Amino acid sequence: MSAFSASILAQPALIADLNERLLAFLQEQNVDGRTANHVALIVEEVLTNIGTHGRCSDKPVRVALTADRERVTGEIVDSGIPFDPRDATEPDLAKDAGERPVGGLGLFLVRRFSSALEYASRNGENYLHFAVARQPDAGGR
Amino acid sequence: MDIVDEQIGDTRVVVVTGRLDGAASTGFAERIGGLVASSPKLLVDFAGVDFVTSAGLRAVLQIVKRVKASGGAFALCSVQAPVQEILEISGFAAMLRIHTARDEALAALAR
Repeated sequence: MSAFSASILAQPALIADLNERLLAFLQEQNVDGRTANHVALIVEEVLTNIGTHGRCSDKPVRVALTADRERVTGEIVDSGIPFDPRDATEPDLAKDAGERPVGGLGLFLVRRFSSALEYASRNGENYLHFAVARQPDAGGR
Repeated sequence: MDIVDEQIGDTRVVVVTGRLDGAASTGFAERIGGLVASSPKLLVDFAGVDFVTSAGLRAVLQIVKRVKASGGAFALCSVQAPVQEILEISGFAAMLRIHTARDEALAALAR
């Protein structure tokens, strides 16, 4: 099992840089492109949420990933406002463009692409654990 | 992210290349949103976009709302599979006009 870890501020340009490194790691592990994209999406959405709604764009967030044959698992630890992403409101996906509110999809996508999602708040820190099941019969990127 | 636009007939075609993520979405919305007033028909070619996040979806929706408010037309074309998956899961595929190829999209917008 191989691991990736980083500590970054939850700011858009830094999140984009992190995702490039993270995708390179997943490619080295021969994780298929679809799974890698889902992992990158989850990391981006969670970090963006921490930086905005969690009001934690100025304190480092720790991101760790491991990849094995069945799944990619991740841990994201921040010290922002406690919030369990599993409690986020479900968006109404059926509205047309004129009626549809702008936003509210980030944590929906996180839940949709995670095969497991757990949250705990301990000692002033938020711990989010997620897993993305690797796609069967998929090759490298 | 790289954005290049050209006029083809009565449609403004915008070719986007790169990742439509939180870092790129504001520039994307401003650049393409700025074309709405002068170009009632907008076609955004996503052949070069391989990753989109909720921030990217938000930017697309902002542009579509502007186009609708101005009575124009908006379409996407040449969407890659990873992006198409996000558009479908989020309900955007049902909400937007999405064409397989640019020629097909231009013909539909010309009608």
